[in-house]
Amino acid sequence: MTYDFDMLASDLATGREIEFEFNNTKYSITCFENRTKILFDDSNQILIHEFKCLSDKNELSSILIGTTTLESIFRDKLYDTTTLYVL
Amino acid sequence: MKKVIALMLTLSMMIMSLPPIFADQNTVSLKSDKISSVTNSSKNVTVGTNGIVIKGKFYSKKQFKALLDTAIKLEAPTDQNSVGTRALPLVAGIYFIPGIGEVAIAATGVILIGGAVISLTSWAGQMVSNWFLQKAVEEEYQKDKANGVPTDKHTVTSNEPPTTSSPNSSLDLKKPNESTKQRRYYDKNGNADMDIDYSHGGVGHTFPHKHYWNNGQRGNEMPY
Repeated sequence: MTYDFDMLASDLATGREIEFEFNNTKYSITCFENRTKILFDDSNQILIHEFKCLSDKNELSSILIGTTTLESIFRDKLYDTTTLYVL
Repeated sequence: MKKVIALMLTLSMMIMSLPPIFADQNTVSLKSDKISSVTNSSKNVTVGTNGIVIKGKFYSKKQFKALLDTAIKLEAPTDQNSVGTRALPLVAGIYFIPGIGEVAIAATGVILIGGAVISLTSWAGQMVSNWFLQKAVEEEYQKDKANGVPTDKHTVTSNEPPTTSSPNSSLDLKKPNESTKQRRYYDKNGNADMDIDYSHGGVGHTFPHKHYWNNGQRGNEMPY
């Protein structure tokens, strides 16, 4: 399955939620209390980012997981493709 | 599923076994779930090649189909074992069309529109029987969705569930050796309709929960 950053941005803007693994750590971008979305480190239970606007690709692309941007993780397929869930 | 199959079989048997019945031969009035009287005096409905005349007003095939889509259900199908000898059991309930009257299919093989009988072998009869069949499928879909069970047309995917699929269907998101993550329902037009999420990451979620879709947008999480 070819899932890239543009698809991610589009899916999040339509209200979808995702899960993926990157560097053996589970992450998710899901709704939080029906008012915002969060990028969450599910393996370590750490909040990484709370979104201000889901349709802002600049905000999405600039989010860092460690030293890697979310855009790079999806653009360069750095995530484990077998673990991707788009809900 | 049983209801849809029963209706399909009944309609098929009707079409194969019925002698022609013409719209202007009989009029029928419906009361509750029974046909209460049959007379031969009125000519309320006439089926023509290009359209149908109901109570003196002409409707093209397209207009007639649009009329059917405005119908409101009045009665559930009759239990064929419980009716008296004078009553004719109905196989798909009674619907009401504003300005036209009641529409029903009797188990005896007649279609009733606005108090008149029309032939099942006519284009109007076929249109009505197909419409009833579609209604039965949609009702089954709504029931399955409300109960959270797979529909008759159900598939499983390990990839991203699409936002469009077969009408009145359901789809499970599940990877091999993992439990089902989500069940998605697709409405009569094949558009994503409702999701049931069984598990996912993040915080503050109660599982299972549901999301309704509206015009391609996935709505907020709601209790299931």
